[in-house]
Amino acid sequence: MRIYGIGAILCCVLEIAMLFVNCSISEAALFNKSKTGPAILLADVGCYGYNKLQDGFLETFWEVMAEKVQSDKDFNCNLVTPGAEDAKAFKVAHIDAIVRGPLYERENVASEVVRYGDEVFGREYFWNEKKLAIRKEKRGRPYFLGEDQIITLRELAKKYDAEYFLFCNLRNVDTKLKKSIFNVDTNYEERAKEIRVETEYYLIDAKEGRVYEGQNITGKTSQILNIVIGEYGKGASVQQLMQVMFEEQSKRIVEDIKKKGLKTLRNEEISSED
Amino acid sequence: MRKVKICIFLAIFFISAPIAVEAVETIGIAGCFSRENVTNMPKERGKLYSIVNICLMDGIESIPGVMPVDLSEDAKQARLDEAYLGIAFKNLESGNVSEIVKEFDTKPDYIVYAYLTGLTVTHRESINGANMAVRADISARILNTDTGRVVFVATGTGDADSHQSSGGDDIYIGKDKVPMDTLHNAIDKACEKIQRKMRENI
Repeated sequence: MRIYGIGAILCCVLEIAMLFVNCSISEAALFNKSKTGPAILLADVGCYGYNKLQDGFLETFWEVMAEKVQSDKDFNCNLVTPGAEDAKAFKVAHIDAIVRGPLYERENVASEVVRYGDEVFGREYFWNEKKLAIRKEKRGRPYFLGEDQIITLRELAKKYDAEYFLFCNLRNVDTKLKKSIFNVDTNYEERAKEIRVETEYYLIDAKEGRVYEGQNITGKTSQILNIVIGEYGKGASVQQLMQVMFEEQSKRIVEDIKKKGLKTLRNEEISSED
Repeated sequence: MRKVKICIFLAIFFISAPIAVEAVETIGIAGCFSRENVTNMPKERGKLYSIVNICLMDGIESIPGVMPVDLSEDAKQARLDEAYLGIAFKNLESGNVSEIVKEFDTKPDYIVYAYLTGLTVTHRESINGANMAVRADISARILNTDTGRVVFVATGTGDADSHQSSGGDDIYIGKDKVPMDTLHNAIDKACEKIQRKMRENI
């Protein structure tokens, strides 16, 4: 019986040792549900409009957007927040995509974008109305990034295991308080009456450097206000309005990318029902 | 008899082995931040943040395959500082090496950073008379300490009415005096939504 006792003790020791070994060897593997579908990286969320938005709002928008893309079964989303150098590279690629897109308006963008655009095309280009008219006709069709940007994005795609990059630009956010217009930067006004949000988003094929440009404008404030009042009552604050807007925008962006963006980049036919 | 005993012993060993082998991941909660655009924060922010921490911790225990770990106060502060300075989420600077400091007293596999993205009070009128509704928006980022990558993002919102409160302490949110219960309920609901999303995606 002693032999059995010693054997049992040895086995227990072995089992405990196995437990520790397994715990130390096994890599942390939660939240790693295998997904099929294109690998999309939410590379940059920024505000390149005439007025700048607070960083806090942009970070919340990144979170809402990332959650939407991540929870969608059709995408294989990679949630990486790039380091400072890569973030800068993504920012330049984002600005390049804005400037080369047919929706680019020189008057309503941030100064850094204007400077970049002037460098690429030259100032005279934006005074030539014939060229601009031709450019506006190309709406909805994919276009190419600059050659330098295509090369850098290819390298970054290898690094982050991504097939597509998604850039979001919250171009214009306006809230009106009764009759006085105020900027979101001010902290004092709380109650808002009207809201208008314009977003642009760019889906980029990392291999070829082709860009799909989309735009979302929610200017019909009555619809949004109805949602807000239904949910929160009369005295909705700016924060609540922004939260609702972010959720609405992210929903629309993800839907549009699924129905149109990916198909146009792959040269598939878009069915008329969509 | 010996053979039978050996068989029984082996059977018990092999049945219990997989139970022992099953890996348990540890999750630590670094703490809570508020975004700078949240305007009407109460003066007692520490109280508010501790409520968020407790609510998040509560639900994580019940998720299978996950074990919550208590971080010491120093470690928590260090993690929050990392996030504030932008080190925690700005990783992958040089290859695949994370820049966050891994080794504190206890090293969890995952760290949760919670953010209070909105806290508002709205006045309502109902059958019970005038009351206030508190709404809390919380978002959480979960970071893998081995790779330094953000693995999961979840947001949650919670609503609570003041007429359900049982009295007790009050707290000022902006100009409005709100019962502590109500605030707690709102935060608890928001945290519950985040935990539900975590459970679905594990």
